[in-house]
Amino acid sequence: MTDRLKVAGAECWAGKRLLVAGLGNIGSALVLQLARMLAEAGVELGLLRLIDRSSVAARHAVNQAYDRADEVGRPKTLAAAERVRAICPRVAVETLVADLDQAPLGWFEDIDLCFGCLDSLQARQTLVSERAWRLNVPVVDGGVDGGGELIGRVQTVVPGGACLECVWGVAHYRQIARETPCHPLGRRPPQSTAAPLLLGEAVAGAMLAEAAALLAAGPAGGSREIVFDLANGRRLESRIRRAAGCRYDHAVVQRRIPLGRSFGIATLADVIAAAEREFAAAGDLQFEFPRGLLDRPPFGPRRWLRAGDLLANSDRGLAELPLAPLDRIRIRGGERDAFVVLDDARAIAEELRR
Amino acid sequence: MTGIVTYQPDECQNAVDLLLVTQSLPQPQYDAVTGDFLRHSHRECAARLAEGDGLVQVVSLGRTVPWLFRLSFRTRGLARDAAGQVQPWDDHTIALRFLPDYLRRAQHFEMLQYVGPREPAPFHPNICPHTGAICLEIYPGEELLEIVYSLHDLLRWRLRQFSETDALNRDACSYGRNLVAQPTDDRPLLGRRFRLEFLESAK
Repeated sequence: MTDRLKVAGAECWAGKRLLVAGLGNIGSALVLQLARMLAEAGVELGLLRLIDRSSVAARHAVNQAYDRADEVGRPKTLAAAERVRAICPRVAVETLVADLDQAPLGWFEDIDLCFGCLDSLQARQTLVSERAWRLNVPVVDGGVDGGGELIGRVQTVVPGGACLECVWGVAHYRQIARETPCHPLGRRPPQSTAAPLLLGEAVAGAMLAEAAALLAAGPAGGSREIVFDLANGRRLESRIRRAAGCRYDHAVVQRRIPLGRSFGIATLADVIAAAEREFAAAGDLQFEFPRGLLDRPPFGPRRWLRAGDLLANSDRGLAELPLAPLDRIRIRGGERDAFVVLDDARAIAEELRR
Repeated sequence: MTGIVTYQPDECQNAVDLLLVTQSLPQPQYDAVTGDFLRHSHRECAARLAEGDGLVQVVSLGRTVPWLFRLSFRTRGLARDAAGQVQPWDDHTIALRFLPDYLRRAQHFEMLQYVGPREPAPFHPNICPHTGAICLEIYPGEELLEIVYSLHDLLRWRLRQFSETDALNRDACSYGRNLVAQPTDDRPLLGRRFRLEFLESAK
């Protein structure tokens, strides 16, 4: 019989489905801490999803948890998944090597909690505001001071309470502009944080503690933030209230509309028809495509288009457009909104049966 | 409380205006906060431009909300003709669009386009001579007048991309590193009208 350590509150993790976005200084430490804690307590997760766009480099051995020579050159998601499986062989781990804004929305849908371990405000806005909040998934987001101070920050964002951008000001939005690459096909190289692994480990530990409290007590506690300074032994906790002047619309999309046909054979006309069935009396319908519809304004990513704007392309297959099987297309009609679900499992099963 | 801000679009003055309006249809829907922001921003810019002669003309082409603009600059920049000759050039027309989520997200490729002239082609590291795409750092919620100033600085080479790998025109990037040490135009964007007042001599 294996000896089990007693880990306070470990049972709240049982069967939970988690997503970790970003596997750098904080994220690489977080998945290992999580796996070890659950292995020690004998608790099994339902699912662990990992997403990161970059690969392990030799320099990452200094301040990230990738210290094996054979990991260099491998995607971080695969290296981290391998380590988790070595500690918890029975946990289901899914990986995706992609930018957050390219990851299909459905990948975030059936998740109990997201961990944000990201290196830019733009990525945080994408994860928290454009993905998790819309799908009603809480996020525990961590950050470190990149300037060498031992200062860490953990922010818990619960949909319905204060959002990520409720604490943002002009300086944050200016910072987002600086993070945007000049060339349309270009992207900023991953920010290599100067924070030591010690700080990443500390933030990861605080994030896990916040997540355990959230999973155990539910979302009633609302959004909050913890900032700590390891060098000076200070810790500041604050509850975040929704800001009246926040620029985010705070809309959580509750309704789901099945497409009725599988992704491979469906066309844009099917999407329009599904939306018109759902919003029969809503009048002017609008559609938001996650990666845009065409490569020119006003058809770019996350732009609202009217049904009439889509007619010229209505006979095109979804597979020909910048869409993926797990994507969601947001529909707005009057005061209501909904997601059209592109991976309609029942429709696929029905087609297979025929 | 700002009160009701009325907005009156400018008349289409030329074929370029008509083309911009046609290409930019349909006008997106704006919430009340963004609509008010755009009206206020346009009013502030118009008031500043009315103070005196400048190097820019700002024409608002949006129907109900000032979201679409033609900006015509007389800033002296550089252009390259079909023979490859780089020459000073002081006629630039740029389209500017403010999209409905502008207070949270500002994507410069969706917002800005160099309309003309294309022959000679604009010659600048941050302007694609083929597509007219412009790379300019715009932050969400930036005022119209600030963007106009930034474009002036870009056209006169005060703002430019120094990294060839991230530039929209690598030739211009290389050219500028070797040959452009100072801004190509040192005139202010918005001058002040020079007033002569003659005092009647005492009789």
